Amino acid sequence: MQQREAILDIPKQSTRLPGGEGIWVFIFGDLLIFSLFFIVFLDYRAEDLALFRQAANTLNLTFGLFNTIVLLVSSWLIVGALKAYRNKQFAWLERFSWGGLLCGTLFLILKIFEYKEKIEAGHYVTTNDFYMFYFVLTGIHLFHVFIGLGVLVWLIYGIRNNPDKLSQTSIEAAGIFWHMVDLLWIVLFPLLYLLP
Amino acid sequence: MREHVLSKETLVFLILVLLTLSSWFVSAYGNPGSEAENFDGVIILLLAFLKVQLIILYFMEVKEATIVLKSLTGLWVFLASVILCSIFYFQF
Repeated sequence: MQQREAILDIPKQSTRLPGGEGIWVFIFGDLLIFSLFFIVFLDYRAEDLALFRQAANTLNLTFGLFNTIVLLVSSWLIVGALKAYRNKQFAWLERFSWGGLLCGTLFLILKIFEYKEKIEAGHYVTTNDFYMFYFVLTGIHLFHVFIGLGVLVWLIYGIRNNPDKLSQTSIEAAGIFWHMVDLLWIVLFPLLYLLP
Repeated sequence: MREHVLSKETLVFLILVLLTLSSWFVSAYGNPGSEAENFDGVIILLLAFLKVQLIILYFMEVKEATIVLKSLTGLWVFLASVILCSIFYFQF
């Protein structure tokens, strides 16, 4: 069979599972929960379209757009960190990881400013259904950002103190979690800020 | 560093930024108040899920992963985009 594949040059199916099974169980669980949140949000939106449109217009699009770009940059940096690890460029692994951490922190700071702006304008979680979704969904996402930042701190600590103990699987899993944070925001951003 | 800057992941990153700006453009300069407004919303959602698929394939490295993972993530992206676009467009 192997000979036949070699002769016919049939590409072998990949059996690779980046990050290991555990992280994917978590990712799919999270994706399913967030899918339900997205569906419920759009359902409520359809029920009271005028209110949701009016409330969405009070959001600061610049914050949302800038936060999206910041998370995309952070994801690109984390991809670079994994590549650096594979190429045994540990100095770059640390630099890219710091870059990811700084972008995540910037996202967090911008979010705090955005929340402050909303609260000062009198928009609270109890103001209406739109703001209930806005604070709950972005709040749960922010919780993911916190965990992601913790993972990146753990990674940088590991690079500095015990680089030999870091495995490729654990770095891949850390990266996949961070990309998940980015992915969720990529759907939240149009739902909350952009839909007409 | 140079290797990463010139990699296909950098190209994917630039496409992701371009798609983000495109969805913002559709939202800001679309067809407010007209019937085509609903199409704008569907385009914005589809652009978002295109970005999601690019992140899954290239940043999460699912492109080189087992076919089971590739299929499951692809199925989620397909179902989520179809369901959300349908709810938005038909306003169930």
